[in-house]
Amino acid sequence: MNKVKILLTLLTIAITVTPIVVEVLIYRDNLLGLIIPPEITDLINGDNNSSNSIGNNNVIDKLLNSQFELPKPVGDPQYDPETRTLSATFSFTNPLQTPISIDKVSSGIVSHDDGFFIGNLTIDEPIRLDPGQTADITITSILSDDAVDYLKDKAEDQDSINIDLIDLNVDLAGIQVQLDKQNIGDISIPSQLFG
Amino acid sequence: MTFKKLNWFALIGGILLLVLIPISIYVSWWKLSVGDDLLTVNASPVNTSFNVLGTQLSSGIIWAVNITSILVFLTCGIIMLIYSAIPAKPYAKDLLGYAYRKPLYMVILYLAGLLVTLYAAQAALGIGVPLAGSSTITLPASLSIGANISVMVSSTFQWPFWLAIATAAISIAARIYHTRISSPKQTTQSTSNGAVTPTTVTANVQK
Repeated sequence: MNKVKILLTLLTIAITVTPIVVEVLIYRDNLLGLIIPPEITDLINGDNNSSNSIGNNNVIDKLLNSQFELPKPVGDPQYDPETRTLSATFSFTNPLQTPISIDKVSSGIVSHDDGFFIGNLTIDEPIRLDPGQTADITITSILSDDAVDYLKDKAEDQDSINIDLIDLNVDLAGIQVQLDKQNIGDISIPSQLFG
Repeated sequence: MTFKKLNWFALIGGILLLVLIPISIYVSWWKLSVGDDLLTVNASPVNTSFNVLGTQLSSGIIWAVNITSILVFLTCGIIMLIYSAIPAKPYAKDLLGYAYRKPLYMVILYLAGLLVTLYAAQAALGIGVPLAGSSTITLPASLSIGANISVMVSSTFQWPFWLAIATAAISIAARIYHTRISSPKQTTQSTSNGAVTPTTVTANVQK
C-alpha cells in the first residue's frame, strides 16, 4: 500500500472517530445524554431546574411547572334576547414559544343533570396567539325557545347550571382534538334571560 | 497543467461537495412538520435539528454525526479538487478512489437512517410518518388521554437533497471519465518469479 493510500485511510479513520470520541468524553459522566437530548431527560426525571434549559421561558419547564393553564372564564355568560345568543368569554395565554392558532371550536351543550340539549357553541372567528400573548376567546350559542324555557325553569331554584360539552371538536395549531363528552362544571345562568 | 488534462467532472464534483456543506447547514435535505409547526424536524447529514413547541432540542450523538459528515464532505471536496487538476499523476487514482464513492455512500446512509427512524417510530409508537407527502395521523389511545387526537403531518425532500444526488452522480462520472483521460495507460505483467509489476505501454504499442 503506498503512502498516499495509507494517509487517506488514516484521514478517514480520524474524521470518523474523532467527533464521536470527543462527544463521549464530553458526556462521559452521563452517556445517556449522548443519545437522548437533555431536555427530554429533564422531562422524564421531572427536573424543573435544568441548567440545560434554553432561556427562562422553556416550554418544557413551563409544562413541568404546570404553567400551562386551561382557558379561564372572564365574567359571567351574557345573553342577548334579541338574537337569542348566549355568549361566554374565556381568557387564554399561549405558553409556547411558537405562535398557535385556534381555528375551530364546536360542541353541543347539554345539562349535566338530565342531559337536556341546550344548544351548539362555536367561536366567531379563528384566533392566532403569538408566544406569551393572552387573548379573550368568545364562544357563542344560539338558544332555542325550549332551551330558554329550560334555563328559566332552572333559574327559579338555582343561579347556575352544571353543563357538559358533547362532541367537542377543537382545531388547535393544526391538531384536531375530538372529545365525546367533557364536563365543564357550573356556569351561571345569565340574568338577561328574564329581561 | 493544461485544461485538456483536467478532469472536469471531478472539478465540478469537488466544487459542489464544498458548496453543499453551507447549503445543507441552512437548508435541510428533509423537513418534517407536525401541525402548525408544533414539531419540526430538519434533517441533513451536516445539520439535524428538532424543534418541539418552539424549543430547540439537541443530541450529542447527532452532533458528532453531523461533524463527521461535514469533515467527510470537506475532505472529499478538497481531495476531488486536487485530483481534478492532476489526474495523470501516479497517485491521482488513490485521491479519486478516496473521494468519488463517499458522496454516494453519504446519500445512501442518510436515506437508510431516515427510513430506519420512520420505521422505528411506526413500530414503537404506532405513528406512521410519511417519507414524503402529507397525511393525517391519529395518536394511539395510549397517548391521547381519552380524546381522539389527529394531526396533519407533512414531510418533504428539499432541493439540497437532489443537489447531493447530483453531486454523487457527478463524482461517479469523474471516476468513469478518469479511465478515458488517464495516460499513459497501465497494465500488469507477471515476472518469472510470480511478482506482478506495472508496465507502461502507450496506445500505439497496444495497436
